[in-house]
Amino acid sequence: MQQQLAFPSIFDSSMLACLKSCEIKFFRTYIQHYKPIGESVHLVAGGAFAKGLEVARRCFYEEKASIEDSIARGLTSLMEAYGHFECPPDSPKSLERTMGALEYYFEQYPLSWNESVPVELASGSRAIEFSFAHPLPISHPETGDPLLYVGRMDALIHHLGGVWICDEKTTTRLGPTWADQWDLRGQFTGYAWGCRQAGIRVDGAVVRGVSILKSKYDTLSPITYRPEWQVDRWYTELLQWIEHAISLWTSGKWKHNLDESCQSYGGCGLKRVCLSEDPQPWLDTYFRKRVWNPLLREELDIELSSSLEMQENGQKNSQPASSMLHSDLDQLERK
Amino acid sequence: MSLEMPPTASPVSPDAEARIAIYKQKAIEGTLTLDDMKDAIILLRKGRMEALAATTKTKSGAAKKAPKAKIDAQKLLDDL
Repeated sequence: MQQQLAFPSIFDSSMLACLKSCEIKFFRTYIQHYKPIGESVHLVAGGAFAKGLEVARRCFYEEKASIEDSIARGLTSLMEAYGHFECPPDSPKSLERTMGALEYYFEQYPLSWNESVPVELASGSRAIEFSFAHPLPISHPETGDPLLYVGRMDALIHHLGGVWICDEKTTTRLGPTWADQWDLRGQFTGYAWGCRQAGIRVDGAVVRGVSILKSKYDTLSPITYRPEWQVDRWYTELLQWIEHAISLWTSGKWKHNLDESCQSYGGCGLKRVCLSEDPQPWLDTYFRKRVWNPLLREELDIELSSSLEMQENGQKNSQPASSMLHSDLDQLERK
Repeated sequence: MSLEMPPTASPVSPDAEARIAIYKQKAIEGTLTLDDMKDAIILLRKGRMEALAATTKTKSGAAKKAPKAKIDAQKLLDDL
């Protein structure tokens, strides 16, 4: 039955991290497409904050709006993105505090600060919400098309005399070890690889953490380097991980982690499923099937996703795979 | 930079919360304006600065209030 379920044609850092943490979790999430019912306050607030930041940056750097207008429009977009979500009473990530966090962010990292200017692209737009999609030398086990690795970074900025990936993280705590977790984080090594594939060398990543608590905001902005040898290692192992996923998909022998992954980040969302001898009733009750599209960065209803994929396959038959890529990096002009 | 505040202080004032609720409704109705959001910026900034000021006052006040205990050395020796 598992071989009737499609193998993904696109990989991103979230999928890779999931595969590394637990094979069964990857299978349930990205092959069977089970996603928890209900929204996470962390994802809603984080997504709204990111949207507000994107709009404010574009207003200021691309439309040349004033700082005040830019932040105001950013707040508008944040509010729209937060939508009708009801923040749980015990969470500090309410709409008001998330808006306050954005205002606080721009006090700490002013739009006019010359150490935070997004790289300008040949089109005149800026490297804001900057995406890439590159083919891999691994064929999809069913279609034979090259698999893709994709990513989208918050911005590419001029900083410390170089070009840096800039990524914002909203969190509830900036503890003493918060900054340490990014030094080997595959997400940023993957971004560096994506930039390199388009001929852009980045020095590393600036990770701006903003904590949203009921009584305060806080921020940390560590930098983490990505030398070429680390990018090479990441890429070599990316291919190995994907080959491993294909062999798991082929054999159907997905294994549970049954170790630290089950309890990390406050506990795996599939824990109650794995605790049950018969997981299906739990999956049917607490989960729904939605397909994660890494290119669009959104979840789609499984039927809509299948319909879109069929349309894409129809177009793909008349074009080589590489021409399907839409990479902002191809437009970069070295300045 | 960390702005630690007393447990009851919030960087978002009740006034800001109420106004943002109004602006949220206006956004739903499609009548939200840029000036509304500029007002929100002012409110959010003001609330954050007021909470910071309250924290600074509380910390310096707490430092002044703590009395220094007088030590009677002779009594201590007598107790031995």
